[in-house]
Amino acid sequence: MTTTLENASIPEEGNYYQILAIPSTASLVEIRKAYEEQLEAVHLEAISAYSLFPEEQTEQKLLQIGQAFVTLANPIARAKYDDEIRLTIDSEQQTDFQQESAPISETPLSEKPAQKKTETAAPPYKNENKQPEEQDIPKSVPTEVVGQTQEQRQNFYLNLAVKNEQTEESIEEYYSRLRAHGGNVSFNGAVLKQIRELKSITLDELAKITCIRSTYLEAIEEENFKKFTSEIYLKGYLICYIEAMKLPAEQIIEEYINLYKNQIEAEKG
Amino acid sequence: MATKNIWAIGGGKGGVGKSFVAGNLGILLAQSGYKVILADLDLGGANLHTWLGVNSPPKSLSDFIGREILNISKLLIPTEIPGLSLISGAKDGVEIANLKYTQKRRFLSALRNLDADYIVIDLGAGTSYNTVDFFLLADSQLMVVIPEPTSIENAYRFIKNSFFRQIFHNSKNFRLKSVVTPILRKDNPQKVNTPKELIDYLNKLGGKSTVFVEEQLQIFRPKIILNQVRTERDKKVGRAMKTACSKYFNLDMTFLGYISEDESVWKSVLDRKPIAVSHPDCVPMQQLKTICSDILLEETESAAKNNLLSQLTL
Repeated sequence: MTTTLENASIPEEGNYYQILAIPSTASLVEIRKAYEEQLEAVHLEAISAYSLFPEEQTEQKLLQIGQAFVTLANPIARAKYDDEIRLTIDSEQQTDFQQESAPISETPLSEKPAQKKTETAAPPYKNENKQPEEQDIPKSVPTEVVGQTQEQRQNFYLNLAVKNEQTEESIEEYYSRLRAHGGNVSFNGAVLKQIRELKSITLDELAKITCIRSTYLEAIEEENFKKFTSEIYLKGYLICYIEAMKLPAEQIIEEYINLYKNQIEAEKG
Repeated sequence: MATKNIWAIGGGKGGVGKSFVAGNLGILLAQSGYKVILADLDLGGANLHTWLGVNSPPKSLSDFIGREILNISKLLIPTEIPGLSLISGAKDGVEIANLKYTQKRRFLSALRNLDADYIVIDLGAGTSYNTVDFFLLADSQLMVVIPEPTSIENAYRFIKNSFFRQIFHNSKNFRLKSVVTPILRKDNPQKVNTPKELIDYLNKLGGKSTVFVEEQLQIFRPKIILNQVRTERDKKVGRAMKTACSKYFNLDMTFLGYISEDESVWKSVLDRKPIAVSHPDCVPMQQLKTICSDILLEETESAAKNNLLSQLTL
């Protein structure tokens, strides 16, 4: 059996569950907690090993854990992803099986290659409709997220997808208007807010989807950088914001973080 | 004569608390009953004399370096703290910054001959050969770092420069100077940028180069003190730096502990009184006491190990 699905390859760091260091049965609260822990680990390494590795490496890691988080927090994307990795694992196991059961084997058993990383992953999570969130709830998880069922979350994402799709044209018009005024579209907090409002997505809705408190999301739009304990957290939360609104990640991160850096520089005098 | 231990305090960046740590460690050792000399080698910025409440010294290091004074004990200034005296670099500016290696050795050798149990050297900021050489010639190599990117960046630069310098100096004894010198040339022909790359390069050469590297790694043991710690998150930076040193440099760095930021520190600066005297029981002093005990303990263990080794060799 071979996989025909796109993006089914698993990065070197492992699949999304391995990147966040969680079991494949992890609940939303566990996923959110793991994301926060990974952000903290990235922050600590960025400070403690400052200047020892390129900054792009931090960016890459943030994107990776952000991607893992937004996928696994979304029940629809998660179910699809689980199928993809299941297919990859199945396909690898099938290949291994064929090799092992070949009538003439030139490789002695003792030299059998080590098991692949992905094979050791727990079986993918089963998409059940009800999944109460009553475990150890970290402070960082917004209260709105606690108690959400899979069904509710699925509906949030379906509504969001509809809003994103229906407003594609009006967003393009908005970009055109901005371009008419001053050349390129520059993504600052005010522009992000206007895009969100054009999409009719409320902060509360966005908080439920991203599992990030609305006060932080609001701080992103207001460029209230003091609200964030470090650049890593600001970037991490910004990635979730951008992903939910289906906006161009690379450009926004670069432009928005420049605003943050400029403010820090200005404060330093 | 008892074996004297020289502790050098460096770290690259200015304003991170090197003098604070050096001065108070000196006082703590003196309060423990040791004879201690504080040597202020922060040339161009020396101010330990003010901090200890003693007058600016009439004679200074440059007089000894220039051989106007032959007996270094004439530079010793007594302080109010029993057992503690000071050698100040206050009169010395950058003009003596470019000391020859032999001059540095002569100075340290003279220091070792003084009647003291411990010599605590406050090195200046920066990573010049002067600073790095005094750091390397010390028995305990202590670095003060604060949990901020600029200080951490400077600390790694300091570690890198110190390690490269040590390799450069000691390669002569192994008859490897002709091998090492070209690697450390400014145009960097072998693309050796980090201690790890230098270690890997020398290891690849095999033979005595490998033995040399092993020995150098045993000798090079910088110890880090994390100062001005404010948050729980800051506290984790020290251990994470140890991990980073091992991962990126292949070096085993010791993390000695952290010192919390506390208002008693700046109050003592304003009062121009050492905190070890004005606030002996404050949190930073308690933390520094633990750090001081750990350094002493490690020295005892290391000395016992060396004794055992020499007995076994005999």
